[in-house]
Amino acid sequence: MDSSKGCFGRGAGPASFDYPRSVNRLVQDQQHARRSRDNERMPMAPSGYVHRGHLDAVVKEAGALLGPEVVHVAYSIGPDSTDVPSIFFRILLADDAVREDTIVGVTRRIAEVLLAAVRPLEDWGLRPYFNYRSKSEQDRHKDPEFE
Amino acid sequence: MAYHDDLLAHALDLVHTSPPTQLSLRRAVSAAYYAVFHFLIFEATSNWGNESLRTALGRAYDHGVMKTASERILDTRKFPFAGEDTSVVRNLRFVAQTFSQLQDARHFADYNLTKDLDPAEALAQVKSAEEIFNTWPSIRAQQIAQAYLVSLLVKRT
Repeated sequence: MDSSKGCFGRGAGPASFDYPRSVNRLVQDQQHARRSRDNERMPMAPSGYVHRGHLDAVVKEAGALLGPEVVHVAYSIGPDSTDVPSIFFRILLADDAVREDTIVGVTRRIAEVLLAAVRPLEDWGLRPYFNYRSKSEQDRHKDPEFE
Repeated sequence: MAYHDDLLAHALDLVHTSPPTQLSLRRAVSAAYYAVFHFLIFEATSNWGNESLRTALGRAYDHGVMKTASERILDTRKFPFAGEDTSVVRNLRFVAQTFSQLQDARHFADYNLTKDLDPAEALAQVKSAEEIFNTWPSIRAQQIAQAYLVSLLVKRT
């Protein structure tokens, strides 16, 4: 590597390196996006209005695929910390699922099922997030976002 | 121990504070995010031949770019990873989703005091961070995992 050019070389762009195809794919995707968009500083938005009735049905259907450790699945739509439209799944867990030795397996499985069934990025243009609460905690707080 | 290991241990200590407080829970989530942030940078810059310059290279990483790159590979239409080992893809997507999730959770933990942070939520986030540390070695050698590390540095303007 020509060290005078730094990591990527001024003006050369990362695609000029002999990366494997998978790396080039990522870089080319970014370069294409850079060339084809003139609204670079605008936040991403879903391609259309979210049909809440349809989304409700999809989430409900997906919730039925989850195990008994899940008491309830709610969701809300709104901007995340970077102002990108997002879907926040609020998942109420049975108390015995919220254990040191089980929680990762439980939450991983829930996220995978919901991502595969709802397809938030692909079908809705929404970034997915997952928030968890135990049933006993919800009984104390009665947070409507988890109802 | 590396800095990211110390951060993860710190997060685990905090999340087990008894009784839990908002201070301990919020600092636990924040430390968990930074543990993963520095861990991924460590893994990426480990590929740089000149070892003494790796930490300097690590300064090039940007939270927003890393989040965007992580979100991108979750999109199965853009990145179907056809022909790849499904368990590797599953683990890589877990890493990407968890990084994105942790970044937003850290934002809540550090800035949003309008609601309490739940113990269950904090435990889930911290243990997910730990799971990244446990999962990554199984996919580290895979080309799609290395491509992901490169994508974390490439700015999308």
